[in-house]
Amino acid sequence: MATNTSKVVHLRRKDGVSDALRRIALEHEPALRRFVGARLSAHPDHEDVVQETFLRVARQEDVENKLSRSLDSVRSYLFSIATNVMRDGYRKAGTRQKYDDLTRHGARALGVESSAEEIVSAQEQLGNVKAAIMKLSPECRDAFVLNRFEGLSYREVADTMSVSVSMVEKHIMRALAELRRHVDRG
Amino acid sequence: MRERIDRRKNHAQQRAQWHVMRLYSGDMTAADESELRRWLAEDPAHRQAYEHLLDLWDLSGDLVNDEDIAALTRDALRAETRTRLDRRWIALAAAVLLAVATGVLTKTFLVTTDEAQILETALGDQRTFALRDGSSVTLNSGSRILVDFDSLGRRILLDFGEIFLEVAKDPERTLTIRAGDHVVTALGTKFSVHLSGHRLEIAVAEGRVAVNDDNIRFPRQTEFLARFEAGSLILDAGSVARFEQDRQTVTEDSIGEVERLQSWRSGRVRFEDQTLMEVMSEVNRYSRVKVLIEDSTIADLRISAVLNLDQVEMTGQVELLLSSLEDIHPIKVVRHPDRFVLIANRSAGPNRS
Repeated sequence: MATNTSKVVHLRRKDGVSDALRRIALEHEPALRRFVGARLSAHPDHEDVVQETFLRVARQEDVENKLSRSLDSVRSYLFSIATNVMRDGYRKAGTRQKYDDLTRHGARALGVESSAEEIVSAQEQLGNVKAAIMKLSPECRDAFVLNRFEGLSYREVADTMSVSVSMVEKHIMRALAELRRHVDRG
Repeated sequence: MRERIDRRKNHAQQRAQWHVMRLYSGDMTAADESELRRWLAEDPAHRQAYEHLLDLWDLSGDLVNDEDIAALTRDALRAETRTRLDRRWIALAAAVLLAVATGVLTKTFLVTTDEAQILETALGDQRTFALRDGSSVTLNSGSRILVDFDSLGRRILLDFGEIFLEVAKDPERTLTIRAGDHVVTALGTKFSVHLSGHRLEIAVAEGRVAVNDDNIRFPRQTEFLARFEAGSLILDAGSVARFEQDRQTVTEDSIGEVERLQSWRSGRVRFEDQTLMEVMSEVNRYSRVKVLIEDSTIADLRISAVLNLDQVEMTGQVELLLSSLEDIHPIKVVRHPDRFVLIANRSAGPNRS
């Protein structure tokens, strides 16, 4: 009767993977795959990223505690790990192509050619991003930092701030717009 | 001209913001994903805007150890202790809002007692119920369910009809729906189950469900995991499974079909290239005034049509659909006070339009 089982990430108890993590994998794996797919649309190595994300989670300290949080915050935690996996992958891969494609597209979007100056430019960009965050309106800033740096899901941010989830979504979009405006102005 | 280009660019930026926001929401649906891919393929500038934002998003993560940012985060969290409310009520309220936002016709009711209870809808009626665990269930026209939640599990019995579920996650208690000979187990999903006689149809909009054909009783997660591995039928988002007598068909990656099957939630039912017989038996699910086909030669005509759901004037909507079919198919509608009868229209050519 099973049709789809080949798609399921292979995390076995005998490999020291806890029941909690296997349950998490079952629940979140489709969403994680979709997330990775949407970030790496042009690249074939989605499966590696998904697999590596769960393995990395398994190696985290205090994993049981992290996975016992509310389920949408577990998901946002998984996404942040996956983002790191993807970024590390491109750094490690080292090939110009991959690096260019995946971490420097921002620079290309700005019309900045890949060069040694880019390292400096990345520092500058980070400074600009920080300045943009500091200048956000208080509500918008709270929503963004709680989601981005405290790892709260939109729902949790909404609960924290006593606003609706759609309001949190608006704040996140607003914050993204301001970040871009600041960096582009440079 | 210049202004037009700017406006288009601005629009692309807004779409990019929206897609990145959705991406990190954690509840991106299959429809969101295919919309994103379509949009990215549309114009290289879209991909550029999208990836630029992703870059900035990633880059901002490097500020996690920045002192000023850490101070801002602490301040934002402090606001939390001032305003924290009971999460369960918030979940309930959110479910109600969601139901109100998605259903044009749908009324929302709160289910607040702990006792098992029967929820039902009359013909032409649709109702959304916010359940105590934060899940919501929408009953389509002419449906009946029994909801039985306790500390051991969350159980729903679909007696007849069609339901759409948004399942709140609960690590301790699975949610199972028994329908006919099958048990559907949800893992935090959005999906619909339609039981009509011996025919069962399951369409998954988001997440994943497992289907078993035996009588598993209220498994805890651990038991369920064992069963999952023992070979349940697993349906991912975009899948439609149909069971009829001993026949079982599963269609995967058909988001369009899932959306069509669940279109009743937005106040209209879409039919695409289905037989007149199929369409009318579907129409009769919503209408007190029934449609009868009294000529077997027209029963297999292929029809595409839309039925608007209108609780107050359902008969008028059925009439509207029938008269549009009359215009383009060799069909004649005979109107009676209590029924519509369809016969072949011999005087019309098959493609008169």
